Amino acid sequence: MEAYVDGDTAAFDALYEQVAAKIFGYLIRLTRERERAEDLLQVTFTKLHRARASYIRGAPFLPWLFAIARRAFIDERRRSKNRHEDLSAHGTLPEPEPDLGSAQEDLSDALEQALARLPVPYREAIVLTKITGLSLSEAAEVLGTTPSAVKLRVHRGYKELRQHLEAYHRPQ
Amino acid sequence: MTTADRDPFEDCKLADKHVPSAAVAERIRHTCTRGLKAERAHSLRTRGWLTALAVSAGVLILLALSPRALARLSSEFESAVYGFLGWGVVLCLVLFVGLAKPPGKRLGRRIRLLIAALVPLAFFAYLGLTASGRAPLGQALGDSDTLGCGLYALFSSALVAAGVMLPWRRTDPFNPGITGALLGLGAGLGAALAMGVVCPSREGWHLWLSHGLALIAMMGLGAWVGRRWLAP
Repeated sequence: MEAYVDGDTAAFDALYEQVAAKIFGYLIRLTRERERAEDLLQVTFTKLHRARASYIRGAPFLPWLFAIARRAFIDERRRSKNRHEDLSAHGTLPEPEPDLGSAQEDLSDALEQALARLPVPYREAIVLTKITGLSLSEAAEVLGTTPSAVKLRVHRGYKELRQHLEAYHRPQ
Repeated sequence: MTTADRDPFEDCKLADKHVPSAAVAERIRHTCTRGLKAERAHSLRTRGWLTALAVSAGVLILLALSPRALARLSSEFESAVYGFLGWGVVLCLVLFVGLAKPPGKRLGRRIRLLIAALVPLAFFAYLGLTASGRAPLGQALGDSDTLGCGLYALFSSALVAAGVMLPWRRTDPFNPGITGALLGLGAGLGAALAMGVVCPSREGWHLWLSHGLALIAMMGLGAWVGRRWLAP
């Protein structure tokens, strides 16, 4: 990041290689739509570019970028809530179907689908700590809460995930 | 062993499963590297000094601009200076807690929220203790001095807050609202201290409404502006 702030293009390429997949994975699991996640990824990197001179050397970079991505997601969700939504025949808002790019019926797909069904706070906590590999305190900073609250969300999320996976493993 | 006993992520590598398309990657690269040149990023220390400078300049200008400052200084100089110095230390502590480390490594959210709640309460208690009399609230509300002092404190602390927030623009994506509230608290406290020296009134409601409310207003404004200014 520091080399990128100093104007090194190659440093940006290396940084993108290192973090883009992680941020994109986080965003796609939040939005459950590939297109929205790609839009938000662009917004996140645009914000990173705009704020690069404000990056304080020594600040933990990955949590810093995740926090930017999360804020971009929250802003986008707030804006889309104000937009007109089409109601279904039953008069309810249509729930977006998970669009995760693969239809293979293996455990990891089942896990992705179970993850997509979790409430956003649990999903975020699990993605940040178990998939992205942030520590509890880093995830707490990103989520604007305490490490013990993150731990609790992960625990509750796991409980729900296991219930979904039990159903997946149960013979039909 | 059933599925329920296991870590669901134990066998699954999900981290790199999703990759953005090449077109998106190219667009991002184009945006982020077009005309890329070295940026002068201020260090934490430089930003800290700029903040201290903004607070000091604001307080000094507030003191210098008030026509009543000299009279006040000559009559109750000693007590005013003690209050000023004592709360000056608190002000430094608030700014230190709010900004001493890079975002992401700062004190916990709860502790910072607690400081943001306790300092104004303590300051209001201090104002109550230093008041020598307490006329009815209606009298203070109808008094033109209350309104004048209040507006003066509000305007000057808003200027100080703007000066304090400028060096921290786009630095904190984690808790910009709390950081903004602490910066607003620092600015409001600085202005309220200067008002304590400038304004000769010792009436309780006047102190709370004219000197103290600016602090609360600045904290709220700081939190609101912080969410927009301090986040990248």
